[in-house]
Amino acid sequence: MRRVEAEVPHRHLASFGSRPTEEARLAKAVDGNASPARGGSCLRGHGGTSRDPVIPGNGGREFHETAAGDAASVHDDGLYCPVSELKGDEPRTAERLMKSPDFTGENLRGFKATDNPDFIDDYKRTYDAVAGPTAWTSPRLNMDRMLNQIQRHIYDKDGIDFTVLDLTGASGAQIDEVFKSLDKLASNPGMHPKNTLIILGGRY
Amino acid sequence: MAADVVFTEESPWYTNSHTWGRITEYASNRADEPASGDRQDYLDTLGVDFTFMPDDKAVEVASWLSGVIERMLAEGEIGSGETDREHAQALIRKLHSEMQLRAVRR
Repeated sequence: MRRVEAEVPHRHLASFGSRPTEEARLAKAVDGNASPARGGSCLRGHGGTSRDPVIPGNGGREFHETAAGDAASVHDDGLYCPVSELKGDEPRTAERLMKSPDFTGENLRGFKATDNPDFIDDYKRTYDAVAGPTAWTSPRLNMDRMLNQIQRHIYDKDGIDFTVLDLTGASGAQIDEVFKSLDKLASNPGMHPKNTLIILGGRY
Repeated sequence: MAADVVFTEESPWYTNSHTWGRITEYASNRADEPASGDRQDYLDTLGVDFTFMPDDKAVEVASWLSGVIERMLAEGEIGSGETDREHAQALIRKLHSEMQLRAVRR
């Protein structure tokens, strides 16, 4: 049984790590709108992707333009909406994400266009949110479907920079199942994550 | 949240919460259609997963959802841009493919 840590507002798998918040903010201050790469100091084997071209000339740091970010110009406000205008659990998940120490994107907006992830940050990095209170507390929740979706978004889906797994509202048993699945996937040398996982939700 | 439509053979169709919310809302508002049955029960916050449905139900849900998306396109409820239209049409094509596959199995 996985130990439940009360008072811990989130857990970010070390193997899916991202650049620390302060470092990203410093990077933005120095480099304007350049995107902090996921290939930062916390990235330990997993969490990177080879699809993002690195922009050279950033004083030793690596910055990239994401594939999804390129596809959707942040200058076109018609593509986006405030996260408060999103439906269901999404606005609260966005709030939780922005409060997470693992979030280095300054602000989030929602995507309106259909062929896009859920959120985009100030660095044009994109986020897909999965799970959330409505899903966890649904009497019709199919746990196999949920685990499959989490796996798909981390290991199969292209064009996103972060998968945001919101465990808010999940029971202890559900959380145990999720981490059992994540641990199994992470221990499989044949599985290579396509984006960085951020986990939200207290009491686990 | 991000929603996936998962097919037996076709690759999954992905969309964001904004779009999926509009689709499910539109589908709910069309619940006055005759014999809507329990088809909407297969649309949830995760999306739709045809691999968890028996053949009969998969054909029924795919046909119904395809009709929902087609009406949304026709009414301009979805697909305001060319990319969005193509994305929605890709879903319709995948749904038709699922219907054919499952119909043969029945």
